[in-house]
Amino acid sequence: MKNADRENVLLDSFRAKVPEGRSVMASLARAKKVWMILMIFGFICRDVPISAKTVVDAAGRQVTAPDAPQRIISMAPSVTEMLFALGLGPRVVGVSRFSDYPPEVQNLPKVGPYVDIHIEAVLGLNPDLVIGAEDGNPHHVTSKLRELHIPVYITNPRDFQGVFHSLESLGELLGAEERAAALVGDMKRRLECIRSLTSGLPRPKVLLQIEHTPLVTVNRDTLQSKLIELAGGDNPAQGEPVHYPRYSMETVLQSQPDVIIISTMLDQSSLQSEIDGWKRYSVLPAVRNGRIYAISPNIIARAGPRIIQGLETMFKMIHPEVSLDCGKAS
Amino acid sequence: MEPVLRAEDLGVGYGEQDVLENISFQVYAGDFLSVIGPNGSGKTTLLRALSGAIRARTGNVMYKGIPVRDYSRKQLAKSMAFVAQEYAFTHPMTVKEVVLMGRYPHLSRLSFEGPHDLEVARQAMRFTDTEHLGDRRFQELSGGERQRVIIARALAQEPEIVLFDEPTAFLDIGHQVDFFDLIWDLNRNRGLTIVAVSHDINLAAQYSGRMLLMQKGRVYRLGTVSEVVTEDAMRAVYGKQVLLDLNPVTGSPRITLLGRNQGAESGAVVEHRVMPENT
Amino acid sequence: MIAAKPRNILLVCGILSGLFCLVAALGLASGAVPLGFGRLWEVLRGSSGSAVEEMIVLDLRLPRVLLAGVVGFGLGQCGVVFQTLLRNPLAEPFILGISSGSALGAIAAIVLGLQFPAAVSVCAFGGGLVTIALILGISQGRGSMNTTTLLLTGVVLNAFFYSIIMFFVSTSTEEKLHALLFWLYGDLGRSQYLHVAAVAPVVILGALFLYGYAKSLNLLAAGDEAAHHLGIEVEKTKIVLFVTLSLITGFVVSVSGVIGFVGLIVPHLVRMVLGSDHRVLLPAAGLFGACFLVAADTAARVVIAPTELPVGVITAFLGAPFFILVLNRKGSGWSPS
Repeated sequence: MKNADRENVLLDSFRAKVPEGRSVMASLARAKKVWMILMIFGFICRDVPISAKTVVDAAGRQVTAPDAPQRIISMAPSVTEMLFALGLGPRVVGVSRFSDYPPEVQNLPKVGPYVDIHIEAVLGLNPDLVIGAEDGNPHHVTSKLRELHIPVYITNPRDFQGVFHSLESLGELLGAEERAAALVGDMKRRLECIRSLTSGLPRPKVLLQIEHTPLVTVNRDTLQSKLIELAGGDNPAQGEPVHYPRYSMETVLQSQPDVIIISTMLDQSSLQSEIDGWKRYSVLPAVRNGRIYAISPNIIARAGPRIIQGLETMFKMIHPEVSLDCGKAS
Repeated sequence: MEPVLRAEDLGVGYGEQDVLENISFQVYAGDFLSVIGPNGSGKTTLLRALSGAIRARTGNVMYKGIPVRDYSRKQLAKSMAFVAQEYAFTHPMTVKEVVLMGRYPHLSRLSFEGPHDLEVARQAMRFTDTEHLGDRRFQELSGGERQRVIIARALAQEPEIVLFDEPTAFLDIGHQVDFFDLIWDLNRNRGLTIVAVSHDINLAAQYSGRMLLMQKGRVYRLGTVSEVVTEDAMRAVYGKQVLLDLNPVTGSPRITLLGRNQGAESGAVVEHRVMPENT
Repeated sequence: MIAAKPRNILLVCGILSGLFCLVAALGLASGAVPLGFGRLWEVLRGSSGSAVEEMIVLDLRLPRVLLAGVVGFGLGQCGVVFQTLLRNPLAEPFILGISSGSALGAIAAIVLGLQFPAAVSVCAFGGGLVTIALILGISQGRGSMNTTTLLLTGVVLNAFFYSIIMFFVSTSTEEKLHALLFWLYGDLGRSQYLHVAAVAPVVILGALFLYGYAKSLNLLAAGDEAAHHLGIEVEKTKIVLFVTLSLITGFVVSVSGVIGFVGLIVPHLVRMVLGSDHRVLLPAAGLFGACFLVAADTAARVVIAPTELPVGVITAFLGAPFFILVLNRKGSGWSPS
């Protein structure tokens, strides 16, 4: 915190020196340029931090990170959400382009989409630690950053266990162990609750639609499919060879899903027309019984702390007959 | 007698440049008019202007008393045929198909060739000695055969007048003679009016009735063969020394172009000179 | 080679229609849920007793087979006319950039999230028309409808449109990629009777209209000069034909995306067997194009079922090697001119 404040003061004083009588934009641009040059110079001359520790990340690499990193960049939405959930938000100075939660990240500088991180944008933010996700961030980006002597810590959350592990190890790395433990404990309790509620329940077939034209669904290796299983449903497309298979409508008709969940960020009216599009397939139990739902992909596709929310939402869609209130009782 | 084709003070140009200027002449029914002149003198342009393929900038081309531009293409194709020096077929086509195209101007949009059309095409092929080629692909034929097929297509149009654009340009000398025999026959025995652009002055002189000599986009001389093919006209238009004599068989004027070192001054040639006036 | 007589034309059309029925039956019987001909017959008679199978055949496969037929018919015919008009064996509906113009329209609609009804199809169609206007404008501006100018314009427009498409693709979110690729590869996976009803009238009326120009096309194949002297208003005819083609192509692309190679292979195959008279060629290429695309789309549905391939993948996969084979065969027809 103190370090961050000091930097802000530095920045402010730098800005204050802008001579009057020049256009503000030009001055700012010039100031930014000088600032960049100073920072790049700083990289070259920088010594190894005095207090540093070496840990092993999820990619199996040794990472030497400062004891209390103050300028963290997150290269994936899931990582961003984990950092903020751990209360480390104020130390995050840059995030990937589609990081949108919690709302305050919208004001942070973006370093490009997570599959195509802009290395220059990362450098420009002068990070002392970059955190990425094995599933998404390309290797050429992470290895290039390491070459530039920027510590890169890779997480690999693909399911609940992965999210727990990532939260705990990030907590340890960044000195937020207690917060991590509390968070993981809460998630575990809620997960256990749903486990207990679904055991012994019938398992309806749940088709998850992530794209309409053409119809695209998910196979068993995806987080979404794992959530369907945990929420007490069966994914008819679980055996498909690719993660996001195009699925023929014939197969949908044959597999007779009981529930259809549309993973979408559409607004209400387009969502309604999407749901209406299903109405003509009245031979499907899901259509006959009006069990077509919409869910935000951000809470079921991002392996972050909100997947517990995604799981509970799915549980309510798949098993509306069971009330979700064991959590507080146990 | 009303001329079939009449150029009235015809001028044609591309962009800034004038290609033809002040051209006036008439072609009467049954004429065999050869158009001669050096490269770039506007022979082909004149022929295309006569056919309505390019528009006159000034003046008019009248066909049977009506400006040629007032005809629809289809109407015109029923009585005027044009034989070009090259043909650019893209698809493989049989000779019969090519000849039958000559009937299209006479057919309505959706109708097929009837027995009469087949008969006309067959006669055209017989006349041009191409009947035996009927099922061959046009692309497989020799140059002379192709030329005859294209003439058969023109004949299938049942035209009154045929315009030929340097039809012998790609033929060997044997086929050139065959060609002129053929169109002479058409002219004599079928009464076809013929306008032919030719670069071979001697063959043209041998076969045609009248000649039109062009120079730099203007008519240099128009008249009978012996009026046009004269030593002074040839020298003026082609800029070369010529030896003029008479074809011993047909009696038509015959020229031999002479190079720089073979001119009249060399003496040896003079002895052989036979002036038309003297015979 | 077949002489263009009414009897021969009817015979050819009869045979090809029979072939289409066979291919269509095969298409109705196969898919991710294999039915077989016996079961198909029961479904069509309404005696299958399975609502799911009835829906699969009547609501999913039948509109798809019909749409493939209509689209294939249109593409085959457009291919014939484009090749003749441009005097180029490689010309097909897509060489001029009309289809990439359509695809660009569709992709722009997706990326910009336009929401009015049928926005994507309307934009696809609009893109095609704008492209034709551009092509005609550019080539007319240069004096005449010169073939080389037209082809060059097409190549340049294609490159330009693809660069914009690639810009959209690289900046779009991952979830939208499938929908974008649909337009790039060509796909019949979303066929509905509505699409058939929208496109069939255009293709059928277009076919009748083009047939009226069959003899004119024979003459144009003999060269502009020859066509002119055999009674064709060359420039006017070409413009009329180009506009007709762009209409057909625009409608077809708006329901199927960019399906390549059909307009290329089909005319060549038909010409090799039946000759070059457009009175035979036009209906035959239409019908054979229909057969070809229905067969290709059936393959696309079956090859890695229950996952579906875009049909454009099949047509390109079969088309490219086949085309090389045809080109190397002696007498494939095109004389270098």
